[in-house]
Amino acid sequence: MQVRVSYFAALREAVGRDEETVEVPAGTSVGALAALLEARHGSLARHRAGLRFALGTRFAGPEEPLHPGCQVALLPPVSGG
Amino acid sequence: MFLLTREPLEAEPLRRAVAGPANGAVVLFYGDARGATAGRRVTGLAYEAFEPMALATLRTLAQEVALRHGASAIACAHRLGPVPVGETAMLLAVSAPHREAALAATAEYILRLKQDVPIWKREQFEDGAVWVGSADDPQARRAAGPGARA
Repeated sequence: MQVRVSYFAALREAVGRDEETVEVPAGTSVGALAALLEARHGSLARHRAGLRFALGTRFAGPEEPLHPGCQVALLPPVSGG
Repeated sequence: MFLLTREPLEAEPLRRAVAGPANGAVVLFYGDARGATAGRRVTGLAYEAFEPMALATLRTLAQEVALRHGASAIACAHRLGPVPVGETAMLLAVSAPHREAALAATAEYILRLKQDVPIWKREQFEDGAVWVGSADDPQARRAAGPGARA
């Protein structure tokens, strides 16, 4: 199945793009996708500390399953305000 | 009223959005772009957001924080894109019948915003730029403690 991945701020610069479509096996979890992305983009590894995920517009834990066509966002530590 | 904008922020619309005859207290907080971090001169800031999630989270936090402290209403606006030093990057308006609730809700809302709203700040220095709190930020370790980053 395909999922959409978006990158923000330091992660966007580390990966060199703001989004991509990724093919993953059915049943892949958020955490497994993160490991796959880290293998694909070595520059992501140093940003692992404090990394969070969103499915759509809500925070998602690494154990949550992905669904076909879902939107996954990789969120580095936030710094608004 | 919740707003992400690339234009300079105006406080009066936020104040009006939360004020009312039941509210004897209105707190307005301005988060301004600071010209120095840990002794280094900051020449400018820029903000980026995951906009739909940032807006949704600003709203959800407002409901939670207002309920917990007995505040009546919360409105928040945040700048995106470049923000010159000295200009306002974030505006928060909180109303309540009495000041204790409005002040407590203001403090907690800012704290929660800095923890959970997907907005990122890029500080430009004379010799480079850094995403605050990222692996590239020399201050990130210091900032890891609660409230370490103001």
